[in-house]
Amino acid sequence: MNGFLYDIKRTLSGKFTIIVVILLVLVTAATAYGAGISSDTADPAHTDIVLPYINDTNGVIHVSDYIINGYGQPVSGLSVTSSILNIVFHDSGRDVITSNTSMSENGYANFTFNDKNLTGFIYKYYPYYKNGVPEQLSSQSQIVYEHDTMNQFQTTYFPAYPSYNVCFNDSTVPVYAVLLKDKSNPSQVNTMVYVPYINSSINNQPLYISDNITSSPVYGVTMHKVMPNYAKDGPNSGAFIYTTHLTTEDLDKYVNIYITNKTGAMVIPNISYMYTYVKPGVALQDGLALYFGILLIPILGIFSAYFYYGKDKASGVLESIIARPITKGKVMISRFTGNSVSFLIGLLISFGLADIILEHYTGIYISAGTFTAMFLGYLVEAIAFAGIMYLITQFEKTQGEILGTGIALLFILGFMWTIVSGAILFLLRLTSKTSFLKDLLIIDSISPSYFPDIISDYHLGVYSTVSASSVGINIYSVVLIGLAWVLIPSLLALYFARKRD
Amino acid sequence: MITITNLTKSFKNFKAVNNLNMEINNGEILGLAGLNGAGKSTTIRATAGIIFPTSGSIMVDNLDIVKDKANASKHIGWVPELPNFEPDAKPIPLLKYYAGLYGIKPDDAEKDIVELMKKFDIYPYKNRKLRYYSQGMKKRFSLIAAMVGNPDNFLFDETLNGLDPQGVREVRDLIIELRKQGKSILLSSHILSELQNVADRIAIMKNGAIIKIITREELRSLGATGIKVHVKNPNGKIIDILSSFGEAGSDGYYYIIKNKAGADPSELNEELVRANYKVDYISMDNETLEDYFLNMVK
Ligand SMILES: Nc1ncnc2c1ncn2[C@@H]1O[C@H](COP(=O)(O)OP(=O)(O)O)[C@@H](O)[C@H]1O
Ligand SMILES: [Mg+2]
Repeated sequence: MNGFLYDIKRTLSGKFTIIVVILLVLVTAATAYGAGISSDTADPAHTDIVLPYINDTNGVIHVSDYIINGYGQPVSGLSVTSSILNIVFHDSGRDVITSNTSMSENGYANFTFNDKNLTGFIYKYYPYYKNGVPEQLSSQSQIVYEHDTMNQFQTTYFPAYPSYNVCFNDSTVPVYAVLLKDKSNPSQVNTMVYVPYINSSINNQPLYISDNITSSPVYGVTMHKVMPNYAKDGPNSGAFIYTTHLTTEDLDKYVNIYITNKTGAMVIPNISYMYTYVKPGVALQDGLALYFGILLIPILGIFSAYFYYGKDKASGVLESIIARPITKGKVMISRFTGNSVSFLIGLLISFGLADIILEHYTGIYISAGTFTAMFLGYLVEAIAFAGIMYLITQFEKTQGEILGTGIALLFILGFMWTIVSGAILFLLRLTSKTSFLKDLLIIDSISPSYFPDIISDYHLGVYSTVSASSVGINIYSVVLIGLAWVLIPSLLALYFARKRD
Repeated sequence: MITITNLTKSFKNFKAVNNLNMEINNGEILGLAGLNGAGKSTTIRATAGIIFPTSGSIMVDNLDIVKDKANASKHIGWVPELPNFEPDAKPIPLLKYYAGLYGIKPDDAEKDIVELMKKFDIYPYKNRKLRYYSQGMKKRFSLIAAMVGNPDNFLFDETLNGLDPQGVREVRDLIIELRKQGKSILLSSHILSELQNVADRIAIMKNGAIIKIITREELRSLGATGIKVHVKNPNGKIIDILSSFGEAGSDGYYYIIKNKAGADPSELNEELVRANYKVDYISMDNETLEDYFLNMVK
């Protein structure tokens, strides 16, 4: 049998590999499950949002509900139930004048009734439907029509999607601002501005939409004269979708959406919501970062190297192979390849399964970029830890010594590295923030357990609180650090494996 | 053929092998005798390419074990003092993997392996992991492992040591059979008499160097019988009679006649009785190889 194949097969079928791979798979799957169920389960495709427009002309009330799904697409075939109540309150409650169910078609569900000379009425409806079933909120939303004026008492809930804000700016025509999902990019939040098409002052002027991101919420802004992103030409009528470009940097900050006229006067109160949504892949990555990179992967790398090389070298098992027509260097390369391939396969199984789980719960796969960053990060880390162990093994004689050093490595370069790096930074007494971050990055690069973070920082473009590129994380530095971790320990180990007994 | 020239192997400052020269010819069994720590295993391990010589050269069939390791190793079968194999491997896949390193095709390898395992009586345990092999089974496996690739040179490190009498005979027969095939064989032992009946020459090693090489002839005379006699009425003349049978001496109680091949105790008895000596003890006596050996290496 080919030596490499034999070693790969032996490493893969080894008890330790199997145990650790199972552990990796379980942990990854559990984390993916956690990320999946706690991520937004709003399921935009099956969420319907009802945006009513009511028009009372000559004693006839026309209701036209515009119905869109969570992506802002018009919905057909939703059965919408609403009722009209007399505004006059009796002891027994309000008279229900009519209750109606209407099927939506191309986004619209219409119905008409006679106002019977009421002084006012209440249009009571369900603003959200899930899989065709109305969401039972604390109370149904109501639009109140009294003395030719519309008003809304709406059960809104921020920051969760879906939500919307509405204002009857000129007493009759509503302007809706609806938060929506982006079909092509789950981490983005879109805002739809919807103005029913009717002839009125509101749609005789262009509307403007703008946004800004603040670290605390913005309440009750009525005028937004200073328009940081002023402005996007809004619609005269109909629906217009505006995308707020959000990055991981914006996580947990407040996104404020302003709908104004051209003078900057707010047409409806601003929407302010907290941006908490992350891509499931990123959520998985964050979850794994807690123990994967600093504990499981170091264990995998260190102890695989111990069980499939260090132990054999110290116990003399390796000699039974070295006595054959093969050199010490080749034996080491073969074992190291066996280890690396087992890491590769273990991680592929883990992340493949995680991907399937996330897809099941969120409907989206981990993006190729996140998958690659995660996979390469942990693969490089495992190989680096194995390489360091291979190197140490060249200088130590007994299994106990090797194992002891391995455990020490796990502590120092693994889960205690934050403390170690913190201590180093403290000793350096850095004051400036950027240089602090740069030094932190340099110290992080000294432990392979932080490589997955670095590659993910590169992928997301953020390092701590600043942009990744500002501290020098770019494609060159990431590739360089990765290659260094893969090659330097293993090549040094190879050099000594060939030179020493 | 193995040629070791000026081999020195140091561990830190300690010279385990010191400027050793040795040649093992084709069709020859060279015994390597020495007390524990003499440097036998170190010499053998360097020859097997396991450890690097500090200086000197080791040629196996004219291939340098250091500079041309992979090729030279094809010519060497090593049976280590303490066999140590992958504990979780099963014998056949492991031996096939070894065979692969010699460039032997898996099918051919398997045929030979099965044959060898049958010959060495471990075929019934082919499905057992090596971890569960007994010491004797491991030794047998180790012999088979050394024969993979049918090398022309063998290094047996204390292989007879610790075997039961039947095992000793089997290994001895194997070694002799290998010699017949023209292989060169190095067999080490810390017990010289173990080598007595197999080795063509015995190199005696002390403190990392060879202090003497005993040839087959010397070996025979070393192993030759002497005669030990006691008479009730000794006198000065008895030495004359004894001397005609060999080199005569006394240890104070017995007379001892040494170093003459073919000396016959019954003839001596007859002579002594004829001369009116009252012989109350006469026997063959070995100056054992071991006494000789111990005297030399102490
Ligand atoms: N790897 C090693 N490191 C240090 N000393 C060693 C090593 N191997 C052998 N020695 C020493 O070299 C000497 C010769 O050992 P060895 O060749 O095993 O002797 P023998 O096989 O003749 O009993 C001994 O003193 C032994 O302790
Ligand atoms: Mg020895």
